[in-house]
Amino acid sequence: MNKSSRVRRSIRLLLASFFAVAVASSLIAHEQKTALTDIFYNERTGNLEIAHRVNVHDAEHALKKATDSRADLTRSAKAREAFSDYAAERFAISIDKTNKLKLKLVGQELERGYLWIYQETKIPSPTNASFYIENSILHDAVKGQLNTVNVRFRKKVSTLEFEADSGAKLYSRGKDQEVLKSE
Amino acid sequence: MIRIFSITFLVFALASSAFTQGIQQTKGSFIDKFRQLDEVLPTPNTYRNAAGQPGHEYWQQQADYVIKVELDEAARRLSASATITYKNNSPDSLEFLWVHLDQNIFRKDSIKELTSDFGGTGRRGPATAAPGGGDPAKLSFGELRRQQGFDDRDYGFEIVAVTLKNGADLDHTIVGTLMRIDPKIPLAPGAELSFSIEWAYNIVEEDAIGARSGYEHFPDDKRKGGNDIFLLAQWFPRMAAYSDYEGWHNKEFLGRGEFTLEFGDYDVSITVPDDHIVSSTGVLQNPDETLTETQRKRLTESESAKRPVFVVTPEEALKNESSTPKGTKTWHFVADNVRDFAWASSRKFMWDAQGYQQKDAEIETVMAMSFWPKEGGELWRKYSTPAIIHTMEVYGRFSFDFPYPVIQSVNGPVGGMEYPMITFNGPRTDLQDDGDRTYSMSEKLFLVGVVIHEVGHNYFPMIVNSDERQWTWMDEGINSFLDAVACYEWDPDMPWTRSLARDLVPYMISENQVPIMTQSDSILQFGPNAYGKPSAALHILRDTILGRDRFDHALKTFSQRWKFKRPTPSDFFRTMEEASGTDLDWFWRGWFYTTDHVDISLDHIYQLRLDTKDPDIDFTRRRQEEADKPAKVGVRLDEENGIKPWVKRHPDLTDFYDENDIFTVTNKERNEYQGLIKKLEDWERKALERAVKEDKNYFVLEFSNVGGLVMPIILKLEFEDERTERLHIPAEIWRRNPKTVRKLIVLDKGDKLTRVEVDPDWETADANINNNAYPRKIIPSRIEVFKDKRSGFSRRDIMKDVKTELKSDDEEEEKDDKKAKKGDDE
Repeated sequence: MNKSSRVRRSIRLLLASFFAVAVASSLIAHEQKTALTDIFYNERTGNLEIAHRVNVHDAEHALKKATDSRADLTRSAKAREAFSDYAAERFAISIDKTNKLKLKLVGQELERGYLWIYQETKIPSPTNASFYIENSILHDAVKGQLNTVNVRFRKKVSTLEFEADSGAKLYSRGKDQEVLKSE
Repeated sequence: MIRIFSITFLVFALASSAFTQGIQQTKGSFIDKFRQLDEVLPTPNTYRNAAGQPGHEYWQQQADYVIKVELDEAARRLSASATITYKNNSPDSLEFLWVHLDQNIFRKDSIKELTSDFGGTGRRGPATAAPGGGDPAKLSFGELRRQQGFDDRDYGFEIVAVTLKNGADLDHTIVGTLMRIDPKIPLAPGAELSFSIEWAYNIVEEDAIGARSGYEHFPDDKRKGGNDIFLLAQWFPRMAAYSDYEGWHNKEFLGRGEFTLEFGDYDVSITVPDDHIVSSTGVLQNPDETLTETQRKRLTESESAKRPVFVVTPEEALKNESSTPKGTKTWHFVADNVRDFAWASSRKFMWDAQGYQQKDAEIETVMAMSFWPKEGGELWRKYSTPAIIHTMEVYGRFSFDFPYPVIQSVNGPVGGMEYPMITFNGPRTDLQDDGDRTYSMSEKLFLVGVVIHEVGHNYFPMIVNSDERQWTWMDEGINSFLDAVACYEWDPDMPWTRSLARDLVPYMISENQVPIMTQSDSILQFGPNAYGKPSAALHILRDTILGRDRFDHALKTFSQRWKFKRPTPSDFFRTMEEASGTDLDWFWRGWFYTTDHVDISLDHIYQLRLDTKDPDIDFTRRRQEEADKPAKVGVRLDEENGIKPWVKRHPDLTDFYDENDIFTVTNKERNEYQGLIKKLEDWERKALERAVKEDKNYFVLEFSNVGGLVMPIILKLEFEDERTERLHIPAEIWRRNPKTVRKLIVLDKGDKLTRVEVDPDWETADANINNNAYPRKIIPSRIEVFKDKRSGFSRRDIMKDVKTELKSDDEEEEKDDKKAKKGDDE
């Protein structure tokens, strides 16, 4: 997306095609509407590890809306892979919002009612870096979806929340930051 | 900048004042995690006492309703009139009465609409996106549909008249989602006021607006113009609660904080097209006028049936879908002692029923019934009514027998919502190309789970009448706890996730959360805050802290004390303590009043051995300890390099000290030892002799509390002979030092301890298991574990698969679906 700042200022309303799937049944007294992403740097492997946890039932509905396929995520590995692709497309880490890191999709697995999706990337020294995160997983499928991202750095946890309008958010460790680079 | 600063400052100031509550620790940094909740809980009084019971002067108001309502199917509009009889049981005289007009939340000028943060936090509508990061703002089709819905029609109550019995107008003022009624003279204690309201409103399209009720349109049905399912809730002016602890509960309805109302008796006549089937709160009074003879016969048959019996069969419902009404029919329902009233109507419904027998209960036969359209299919036929009955079996054990004669589950556009005797549940089947209807495994689990959850709400808060608008956790937390218990008992493998302590860890370590004790509309991360965390806390309280006997007794006491009454959190906290005989203030404080998380670290283990004082024993041990130390590196290297020490090269020049090392015992020490033994009292000598003989192993375990939340320390001790032992140290170990504690454990001589682990069954929501074991071991990350597991299944090429496009090819999907149906995909 290479939009000029003029567009940004004039708050033009745009009908993005993928947003057309936005109407899902609302699950008021019941649904969790939350997805979780855990990000941490594995010093043993030199990988920035990203693990997304979504509710299988929410994911199924999202996939059904997005691809019009009748997905059974519990039984079909193909459907789970399709959802992983869907999720991977809706999550990004970047230094300046435009140069997105290449995240490798490691895989997915079921754990009880959750589907976990794993991504990772090799980075030289992330421990003191700041970076932008974007996370719109399920925003186009579940009304009021709230995605919580925990970035863990040693004993400190920083939490960012992503709702439908959040866009990119800055994760920042403080003054002496290094710039995150992908190898 | 200034604004940001001042807001931050304000938040900080509020937080700190809430924490101190008049008491301040001004020396040192000690935090009393066990401080009693005296300053935090309201002062007990004659309405609710210090034991957590309703006090001896407990009172609550009563509101009875006689309502006539007509559904205009074509216009999707309700018109109704009600006579409300309000009984003032309070000791106060009331100058005015407040009535909820919840449909007003759908007015364009409602506080909820006006304060809607474009796509922002807690929004209940469709997705939108504000501009940012170079992208323009986005408005989804869903949001457009919602906006257009508002443009095309006006929503909210149209109040036609508010009158007294004699027809005189009653002064009234509408304030947002509420209406104030001003009688000429205040309503005295013990007095009654009867008045009538006439109203009408346009029904919202549930899916477009996002509500807890509304209509759903089925344009593809064969009938010309299609069909609708109507779910009607918050559809009449409902008397606001007036209580001893809050006065009028007249907080504006903002969409999230749900409801609390007064109990009362309802007599409701519902007029709908004559081909509709109505499901409603209450007992049907005129089956002869509304049901066919066959339907009535089936209903009677179902009372003692072992499996649900169809009252309206799928074939009949399908036929009904294409019918044209010839007029209207009035269904008359009566419900006693309920706090709300909801109903559903459609010609699409099939209907099954089965009596649930409660021996010796006030109501011996409860009719469990389900209503669903063909879209619900087999999924509903198989599981909806059985799940209702299962809920009553389990919840009945924990609280009380179901006190109403009917309980229903209705499928419509609402995902899951509870009302007395009736619940709305959303899961459906999918229509396949071959005309079959199928459902995924998770849809099935969702149906069972949501029916249990919503029927469970009939106990909490429909009968144990807590205030959902203030404290969502009181009904959602207790109910989520019990629905997990019921799901375990349905199928232990059921992946019902949100109540498991370990699943709450990411939430509990996250930064932007608020304590459970937060007003509903102000909660951040609503689901984990009001459902997951309190539910996990109660599981921990039951299975880890109190034990099942004491917990179950206490919860049952709470339920029975507050059945058909109005409890507050303090009544719950007090009752649980009183009935279990356990001081739990530390637990409520930690889990409900703070945002601490659990992380207990086992930092060190020291091994100690008792000195015998006998030099012949102790000196030998010291010598051995010295010998066990590693050799000096310099000496070892000298040896390796063939450097022979001087003493070895001059063996002729030895003396006494070459024969006797520093640990050599002389009679001097032996005499001192004898002297010491003589000086001991008899009992001291015996104790020492016994200890020397037993020669036990003493270990000091050092723990630190990283997360802040004090919890019991559960230990698994592993021994060399592969034996394990469990040790449960109550949370009170932290009472004088909530940061670090040491625990001495004494083991028999032969017990060789090899490893100790904290919380081995992951039952306490301990956030970091890396510091739980001593000696430490490397715990691989989630992704590393996944990679390890996967390397055993080399059948897949992820590197290639990762580039797979998102499926769009119909053929491939079909293949995939067929495979999935056979269940041989994995």
